[in-house]
Amino acid sequence: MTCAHVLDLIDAGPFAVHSAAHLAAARAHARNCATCGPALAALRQIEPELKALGDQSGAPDVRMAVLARIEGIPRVEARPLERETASPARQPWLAWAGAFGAVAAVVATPWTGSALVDTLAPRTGTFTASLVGLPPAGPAALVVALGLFLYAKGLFSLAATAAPARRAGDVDRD
Amino acid sequence: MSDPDRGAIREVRAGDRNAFGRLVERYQGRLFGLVVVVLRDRAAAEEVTQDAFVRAYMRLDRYDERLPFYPWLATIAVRLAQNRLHQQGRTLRREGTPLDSDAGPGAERSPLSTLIAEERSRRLRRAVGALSSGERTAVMLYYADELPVREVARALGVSTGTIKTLLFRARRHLREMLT
Repeated sequence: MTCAHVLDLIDAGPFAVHSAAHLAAARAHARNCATCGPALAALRQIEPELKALGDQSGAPDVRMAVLARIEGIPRVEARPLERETASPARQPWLAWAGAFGAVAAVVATPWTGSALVDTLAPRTGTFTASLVGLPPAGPAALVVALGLFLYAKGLFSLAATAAPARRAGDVDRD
Repeated sequence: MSDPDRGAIREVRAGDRNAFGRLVERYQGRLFGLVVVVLRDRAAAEEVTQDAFVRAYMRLDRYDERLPFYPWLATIAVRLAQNRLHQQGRTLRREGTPLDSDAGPGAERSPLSTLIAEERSRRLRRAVGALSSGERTAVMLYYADELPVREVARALGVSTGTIKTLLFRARRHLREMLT
């Protein structure tokens, strides 16, 4: 075990990812090493002192200044979390709409397809018409259009649900 | 979140601005301690501390009561402090400017042991002040504020892996400076 490796482990501190046996060996090395021993001792001493750095007994009192500044700000109210999280659940039909729309479009296509072939056959020929697959007319077109609309609506609804919600602690970087 | 915090926040949301004063009183020292280390400037730290509280008040509607209040507040303060550093173009510099908050009240009358402890503390502050802004912010949030790595990462807007790297580097720099 080299000093460089042991120093790495010392600097990694609680984040060192090694087996307990490996860390014990590193500690044993540090106990007998003139370089690693003081380094380990120093960091052990620094940690509680770092904790004390946060104590600011001489901190200014900003209470009155803050209260004065918020005086003119309109009253804040809780934004119910349910509003954000429950909105997709309140419209479950949207999730189903996509599936329904897709099924409707698929089911309607052969039926409208044959009608289309009948309509177009005299002019384009049966083979060509079946390849062209132009949008159908009349009620069949409505069914397909409705199906596609619901499919798209359901699709975007799912996408909106999947979008990560903004976290409460997020603040703008201005 | 502690019950006093929750109570105060509910009162604020019910329209009692003075209840917010209780939160300010409770956290101003801790928040200022964080910001002054990040900014290394007492006057700027006082401004940012104020701004952070005002910003927190304005955004209290977005605060999730189920989470502890201080990390949320610290996130706001850290980002404001970072913005301040960016504006000053000091983010990547490591000038090592000593913190001017060293002179605590009553230092002259302290016994020898206190003086020694204060000298150590002063050296440590100087060393922390010499770290990069990311390193010292991570150090303050992790060690001084005792936030878990996940919260520190959220406050700085980076991954937990980045925080571990920042803390690793910070520990190394501190060790090298103080031994």
